[in-house]
Amino acid sequence: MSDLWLLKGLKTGIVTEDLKSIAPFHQKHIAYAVASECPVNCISDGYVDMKKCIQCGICTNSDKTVLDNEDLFRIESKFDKKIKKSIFIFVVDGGSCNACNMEIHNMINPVYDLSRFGISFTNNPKHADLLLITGVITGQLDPAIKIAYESMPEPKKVVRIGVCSISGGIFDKGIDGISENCIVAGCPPDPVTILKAILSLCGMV
Amino acid sequence: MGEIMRIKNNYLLYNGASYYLGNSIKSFENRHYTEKTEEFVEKSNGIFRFRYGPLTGGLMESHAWDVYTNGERIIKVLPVTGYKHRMIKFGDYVRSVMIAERIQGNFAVSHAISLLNAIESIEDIVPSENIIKIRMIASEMERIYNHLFLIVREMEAGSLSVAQYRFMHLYEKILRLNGDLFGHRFLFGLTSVNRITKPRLNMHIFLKKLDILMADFGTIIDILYNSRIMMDRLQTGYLTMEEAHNVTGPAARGSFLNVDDRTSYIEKFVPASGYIYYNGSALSRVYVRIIEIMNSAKLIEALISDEISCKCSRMVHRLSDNAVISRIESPSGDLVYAVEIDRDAHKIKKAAMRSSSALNIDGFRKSIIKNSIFTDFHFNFESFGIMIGELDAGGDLENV
Repeated sequence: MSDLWLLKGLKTGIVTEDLKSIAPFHQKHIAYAVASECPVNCISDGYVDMKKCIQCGICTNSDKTVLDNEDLFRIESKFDKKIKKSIFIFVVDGGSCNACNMEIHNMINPVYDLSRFGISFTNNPKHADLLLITGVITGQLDPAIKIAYESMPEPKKVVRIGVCSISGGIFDKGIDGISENCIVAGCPPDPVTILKAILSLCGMV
Repeated sequence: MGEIMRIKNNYLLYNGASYYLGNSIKSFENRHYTEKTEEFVEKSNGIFRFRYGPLTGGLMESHAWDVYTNGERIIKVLPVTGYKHRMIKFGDYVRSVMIAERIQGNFAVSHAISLLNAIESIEDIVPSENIIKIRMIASEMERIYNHLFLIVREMEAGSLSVAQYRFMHLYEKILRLNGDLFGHRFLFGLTSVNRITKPRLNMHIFLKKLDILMADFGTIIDILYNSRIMMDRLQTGYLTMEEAHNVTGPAARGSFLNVDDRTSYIEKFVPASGYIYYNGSALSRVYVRIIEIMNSAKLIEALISDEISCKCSRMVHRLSDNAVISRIESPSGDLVYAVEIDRDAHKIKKAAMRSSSALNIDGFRKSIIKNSIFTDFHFNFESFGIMIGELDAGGDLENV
């Protein structure tokens, strides 16, 4: 059995990709845009605001002015020092559609291989350095998220993943009392963008 | 105040009538609504209750379980949902479809098509053959990646890491193929009222790429079939044929029931059945998913080469001039939308949804108490394909 896996593995070779060689997926498809057609009003002053864009695809069918994208992720405050040890991530689903969760899960995929950077997931917030929040943060989950955040040791950072957790996207934005240190835009953001944001936040790139 | 439109215990309550929704198109009928009562667990020595969730490892989406155990053995599980209750408000058609896609992101196409079938049916819009074909292709691609993802989760729970990473690699390739073809990895924004996103890839190039991925999938499956560890670990969570009458999708088919809505709208469609595969266990459900991945790839090929076509454009049942029930086979089973629209404003007035997860969660609860210990929880849970987002949808949208 193990021989068969080994043979298959040798035949396939290394599938892990260099982060520099992977283009963020959702950047190239937002090129043409018309402000009046946008359901979430994310187009203004010559820019597509990726913090609001839900990638509905309506604007890409229009053949109008080419607009620039704002950054796919933005760092508010980095860790004071470069982290030399392993980084542990605690993921919180604050009421998402599960697409963001699946993309976060995808980071352990051999194509992205999160572990090569010394980053791994933890099931306990007491061990976590980073809190990843997805979804609109519903009233029912807000207290649980606050408890998780408060039980994390210092230094700790919060990363919001996807437009729902940043601006509410197409849903109403929920109650929210946690200030973020990094936001990653997209509906959902792809694994390479999330990974690059985490690496930048931790001073690893 | 208008008439209520509500789905409760698998019944649609609308306009003073009640409709039993069943688990496939064949079982749809007007039947008297009966209230379901929850069985009671007696408190006795040795029975211990603990809360598993809502934010914990193992559960991908936020929800919780009250688990009653006696020693290692699970006596009963009670789901605690409502954590992901987003205030879902439908409005005009375009916005409503976008919201429906985001009720459960990984079932975006199924939710969108089910809602669109309802809207288009009331508005007497007949989409072109090409639109229906592209929707069907997208729906099968959605099935492939969701089944792959659940197999990944099964392998993860069983610590079969090599197989897990092999399937994850394949899963990523399928998502990228989705993106290359339709512009979104999870197929958001694919379709709207009588509209479809134009494929960005030549269909024959797409087919060639899919064939290569399916050949790879076949090789991995051949190796996996020789794994005794997988056979042993997944032989848990038995669901008999009688119990499976109240579940849907691969969970029902894994327990010998040939229920599949696609037989009603796709020509020459034969559903994958668990008949020949074991005994309604988690392994049986995984096998059904494996067969369905291969079947879906063949179906896509047949659709592209025009070997088969869709028998009808939609499966709907008209309740009144402005209201219909629409159903479609989502990756986890039969998905039902009941919709009433405001024709003048072109808006959705009322909507109710019965997700496949709402049925399968009961099947999971029945199967987990059969000689299962806590380590069996994840094999069993993932094999049913239960998604909490669609179970917890709230606001204007009423669900079970």
